Amino acid sequence: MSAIDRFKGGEGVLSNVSRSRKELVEGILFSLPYLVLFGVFLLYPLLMGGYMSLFEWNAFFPSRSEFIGIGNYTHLLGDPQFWNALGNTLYFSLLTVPSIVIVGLGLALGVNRDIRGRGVLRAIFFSPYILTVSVAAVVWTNLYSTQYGVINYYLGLVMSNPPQWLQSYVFAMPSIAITTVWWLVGFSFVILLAARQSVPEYLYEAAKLDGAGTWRMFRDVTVPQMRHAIFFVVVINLIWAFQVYGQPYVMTSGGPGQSTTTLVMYLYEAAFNQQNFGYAATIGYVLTAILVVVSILNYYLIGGDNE
Amino acid sequence: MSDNTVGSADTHTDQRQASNERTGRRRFLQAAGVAGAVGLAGCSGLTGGGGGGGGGGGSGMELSYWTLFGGGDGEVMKSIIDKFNEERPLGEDVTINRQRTPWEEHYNRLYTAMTGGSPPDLAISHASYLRRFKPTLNDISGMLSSNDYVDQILGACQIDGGTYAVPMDSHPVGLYYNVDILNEAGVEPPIENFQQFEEACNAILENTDAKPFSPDPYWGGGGGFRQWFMGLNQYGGQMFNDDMTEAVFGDEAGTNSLDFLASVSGERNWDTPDISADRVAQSFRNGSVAMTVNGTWYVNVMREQDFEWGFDKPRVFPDADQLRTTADSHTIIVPQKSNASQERIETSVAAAEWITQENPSWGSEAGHLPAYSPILNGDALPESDIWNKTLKPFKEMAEDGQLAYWPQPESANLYDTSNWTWITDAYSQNISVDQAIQNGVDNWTSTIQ
Repeated sequence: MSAIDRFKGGEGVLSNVSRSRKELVEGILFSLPYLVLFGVFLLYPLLMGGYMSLFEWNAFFPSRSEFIGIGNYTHLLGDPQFWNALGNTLYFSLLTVPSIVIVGLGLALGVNRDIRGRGVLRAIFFSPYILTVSVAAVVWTNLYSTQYGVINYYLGLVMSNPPQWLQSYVFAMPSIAITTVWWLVGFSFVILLAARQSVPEYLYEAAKLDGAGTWRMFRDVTVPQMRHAIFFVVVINLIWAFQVYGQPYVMTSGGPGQSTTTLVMYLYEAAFNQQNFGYAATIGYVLTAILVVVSILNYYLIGGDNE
Repeated sequence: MSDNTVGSADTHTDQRQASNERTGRRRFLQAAGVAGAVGLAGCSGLTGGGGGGGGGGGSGMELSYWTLFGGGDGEVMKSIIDKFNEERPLGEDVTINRQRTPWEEHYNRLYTAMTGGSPPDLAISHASYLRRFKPTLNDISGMLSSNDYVDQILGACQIDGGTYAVPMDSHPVGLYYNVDILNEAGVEPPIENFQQFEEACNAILENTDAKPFSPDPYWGGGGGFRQWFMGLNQYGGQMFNDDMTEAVFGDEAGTNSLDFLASVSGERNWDTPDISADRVAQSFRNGSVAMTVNGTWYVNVMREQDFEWGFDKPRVFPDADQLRTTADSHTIIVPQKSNASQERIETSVAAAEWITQENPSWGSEAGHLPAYSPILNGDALPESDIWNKTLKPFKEMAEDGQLAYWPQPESANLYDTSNWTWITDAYSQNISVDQAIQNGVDNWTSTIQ
């Protein structure tokens, strides 16, 4: 008996109500542990952060905090260090996100082909991702070292003054970006590889019959079919890029000058260096707002079912 | 290293006991009082349990103690706390549980613990952090059994009439040099004025493959601020105005100091404009940099070097008005804990005093200048192998008021690297000295306001 038949029969309605109540209770019980953890560790800090952002927060004695309304937000608008950090973060995102997506996609399409040793290649491409940020950053700091780094060793053979990668205003952020791409591309690679493998082969066969070349198939079959995966990869990497902290912290400490100080580094500095937790919460809220806006834009540009 | 340390500490303990008999009696009376109070607490059944020593009333007071010392410093501090737990100077029931966190994490952990209301009983803090932490520290003025510390060092622990830490040492910086390279260049130490220093650098540049001088071995983590601050004080300047609301080092003194540092990697060609982490630390140790400025703690590294090394007071700034050196102090703080009894606080203070007053190894082994006058003027330090090299010159500078103490900003972390990138910018020749100074003044003014 179908659900419609049961509904028509009357008896089924009562049975359905009773079942849905039971399911509701079961659902709530099932979700409860997550909801509790969500409330304690995410929702409460989120709301608390918003509350703190309206105060000149006294970390030692919260009850002595001074309410200043939107004072922190107006201060932020005129704070050159905030704008510098935002600019650096955007620059970092610009350097890393397209690179990770393009390199990840290239690697995924490459090892999807029937080539020898592709299993080993997959493992190699993914392996940097299992490192912690500090290990990845230290490895590359050593590679970039002017003292004993392998990069400048070889460059020194052909040029008299190889760049000081991490001490240069020009090269510091790109150097961090290269490290990040190397470190994180494995995750995107795996997602994109899985997406590519789920594209039905008959689409390619049909395209071939229609006379489509490799580029055409990539543009009209691969990319549209992988659009949701690409959207996910773009958004997740954008979020990571906007939250970047570990790499510049370990590799440059935000320098030279403030040229690699990112938003989260500035947030941390406001909280723990200047003890201005209210302002730090404000920066955090603005960062969240930026991420929401960017994610929505992405959704409408490349990810959504909006055609 | 640790074996030597422990053995040496025992030897010095005997000497200290002989030379500080009066102090010992006073300490015993004080300790007995605290132990009595602790014993009473134990008898009342406040804590219960075994107490780790098997003695007395069966209750234990284990004081948590957070330190930041690694390497040789860490070994010496470990031996001091081991000695405390073996000797039980405050009574059988009182022990110390030492927890070491890395330097770079120590203050964040401490700060978080203090804001969260669960700090340790005792913790190491640099004097420069005391004003920052003051709201959560116990004012221990009335609990100290002795104020017989070097005035300038004790003064760094006193804020607005209260005492917020027990001073342990002072750790100024001075000029370390590689005697082998100096000799190769035809230079005979000591280096007693800037002219000699300049001649030595130029001779090294001309006659050896080594770089003559790099001011900061910790470019990556330090940014040369100790060295710049030393110059600022040698030229008679100061970092902030008296009420700490504005950075005022954009004057001639601050500019001269940075100008000289930038000239080292610039027109003087004594060093390369490379501020990558550990470059100088490694270069000095492998003999490719002849001279550097470093702190008291560096003796632990130098002891292991296979070249002959020397040390002088840091007369490295041209036309300086006076001899000054950057100094900060390790102090022991007693953070406020909501559930700590008065006995526990007093015991913590007594333990901090024992650590600072009864252990000359902190000077003779770890290399720091003890803050407690009877140790500083006792017999143990002159018998140390580093007495003539580092401790004696530093002691003279302390006695002559030549320690330039860090300011204590209320809302800034002096050691945060991001506050000092303007110095590395100038040293790496990325920007002009004037621009760097202006950046520094703007950055600091915005930070402390």
